[in-house]
Amino acid sequence: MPDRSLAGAACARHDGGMPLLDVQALVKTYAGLRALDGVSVGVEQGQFFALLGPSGCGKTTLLRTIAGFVQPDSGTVLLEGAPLLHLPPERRPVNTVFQSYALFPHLTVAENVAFGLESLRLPRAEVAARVAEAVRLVRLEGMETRRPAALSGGQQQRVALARALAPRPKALLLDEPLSALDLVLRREMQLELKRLQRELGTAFIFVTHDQTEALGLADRIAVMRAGRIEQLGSPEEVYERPVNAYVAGFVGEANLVPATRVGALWRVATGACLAAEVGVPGPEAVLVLRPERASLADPRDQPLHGAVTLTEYDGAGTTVHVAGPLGTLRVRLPPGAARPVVGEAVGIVPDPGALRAVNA
Amino acid sequence: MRALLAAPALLAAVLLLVLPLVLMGYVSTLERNPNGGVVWAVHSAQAWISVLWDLDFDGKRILNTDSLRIFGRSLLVAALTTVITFVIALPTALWMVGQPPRRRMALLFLVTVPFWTNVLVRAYAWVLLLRAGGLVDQAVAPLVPGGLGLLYTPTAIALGMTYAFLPLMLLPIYLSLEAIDPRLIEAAADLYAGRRRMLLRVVLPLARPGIVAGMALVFVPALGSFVTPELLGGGKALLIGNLIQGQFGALRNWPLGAAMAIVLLLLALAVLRAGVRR
Repeated sequence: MPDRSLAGAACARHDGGMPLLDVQALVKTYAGLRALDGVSVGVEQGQFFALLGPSGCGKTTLLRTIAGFVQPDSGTVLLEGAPLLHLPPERRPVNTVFQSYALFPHLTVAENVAFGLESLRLPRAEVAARVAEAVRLVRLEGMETRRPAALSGGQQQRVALARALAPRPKALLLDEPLSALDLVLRREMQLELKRLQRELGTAFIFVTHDQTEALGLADRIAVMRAGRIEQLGSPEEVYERPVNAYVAGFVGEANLVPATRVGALWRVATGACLAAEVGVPGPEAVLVLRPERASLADPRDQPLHGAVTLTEYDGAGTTVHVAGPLGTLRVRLPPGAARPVVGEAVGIVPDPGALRAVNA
Repeated sequence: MRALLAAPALLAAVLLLVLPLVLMGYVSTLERNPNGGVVWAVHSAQAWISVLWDLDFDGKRILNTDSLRIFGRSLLVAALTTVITFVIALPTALWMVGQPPRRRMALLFLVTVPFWTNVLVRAYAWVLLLRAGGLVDQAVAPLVPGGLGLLYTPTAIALGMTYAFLPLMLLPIYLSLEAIDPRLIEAAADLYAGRRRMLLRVVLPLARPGIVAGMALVFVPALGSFVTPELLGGGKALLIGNLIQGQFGALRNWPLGAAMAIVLLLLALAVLRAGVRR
């Protein structure tokens, strides 16, 4: 559910109660399917905001509603307190970086970047100055006269960024902007985006299905599923205190074990009872255990145990797969830790406070 | 193997395109047979001279201003047809691409319907519509009692030509508009472009291949057309097409007809080249 109280607290800190962008109860239905099912969310000035979720969760629909390409069935969007939904896209002071860039193929880099500025009828000298500034910002000096077809994917991405940033939008909307890039370039562009956002102080609203990207870049993340926001919070909150099993499983690696409340403890399928942080009101829950927040021990007296089926070493550590009565659980060992042998019986010891009971 | 696969197309091109052109070029260099056809063994430059020059009563060569005027008129008619069909086709095509897919298919089908009927029949249909006391005159009778008297006027030619060539302009423009990536339209709107700027800076440049193709498809055959202008213009204003047809028909001057046809071809190519290069 939308976390309005936290958003409100953050606003009060920044500028006296008004978020930059205020989305309220948006509903959009496509052929009976709810792409947006009552979405409310606030974005602050200068925030790097990530909309995270699998494809079809409504994150792109939400972004396109803000940009003006989707008209919602109901709900409102306020930008700096003023209603936005009645304006056509060309009159909304936000700009979009499209998933496949959508650069104008018949225009040069400089002409692409100048497009929005010329639409706004800025004086020619200012257009030239701002184009030069934007091109420098994305480090494309010397490419001004090239056509998009003569650029690499990463360079096209930079042009798309420069083009969207040149008109100095109140918010920059990014629709999975890095999904078309290979891993190395993607990593580089992530840092670049972070740098740009810090340098400009512009609010970035970033749609992604990549949880690592969202955790690494965003100040605030909205995790979406089936047209709803499941959780809204800082990367730390979303990762460390997921509100349900879906968020826990989607954001980062997680062992999920169903459990029932027994007094102050939680009983799992094997009958063992475990202590856990409580993040759920009811008697039924799922216990979340991050692989890196547990260690291996002697199997005797351990409620969580099993036999090692696989060890994956990746340089930064080792992931051990342990098959037991509760299914396969994963434990992440730090580098240098002794690597167990496949077939070895081991017990899993959660770090203190690492187990968390959440809604299924 | 590759060459073999290309053979049928090559053969067709040679048989249907190159050979007739060569034959036409050859015929234009032959002596005319006053009873029709040519004298196959005797060569003469007379046809080429006659394209532009005539002999006056003293046997001196003088410039044939009539044929110059006809060439000029043909270029004008073709250019006007191109401009008018473009002005009608562009907004129509823009409107069509904005329709839902099912309706677009239906509209596309409607555009092609005139092709199902012969040009001659369609020209006669216009004669019936425009003639004195025809359907058009009946329709305007309350306002213009005497009728408009449109048939056998330049207006009638313009109407007929526009009607005949509109689909050739509309189809390629529509197809190139439909091929424009809708995200580019969204990007332009996102970058504050109003309708006018969107059209001039994004849509038209991207639809350029279709526009050029449409113009070529209209201009070239319009330049050589003779059925529509003759039937609707009443034969009062000759075009190159009429002239060429006449040489092969009643005037029995095949070499001159062939020479004129080649001039027509070169004229069309020159205009196309100038149009594409810009």
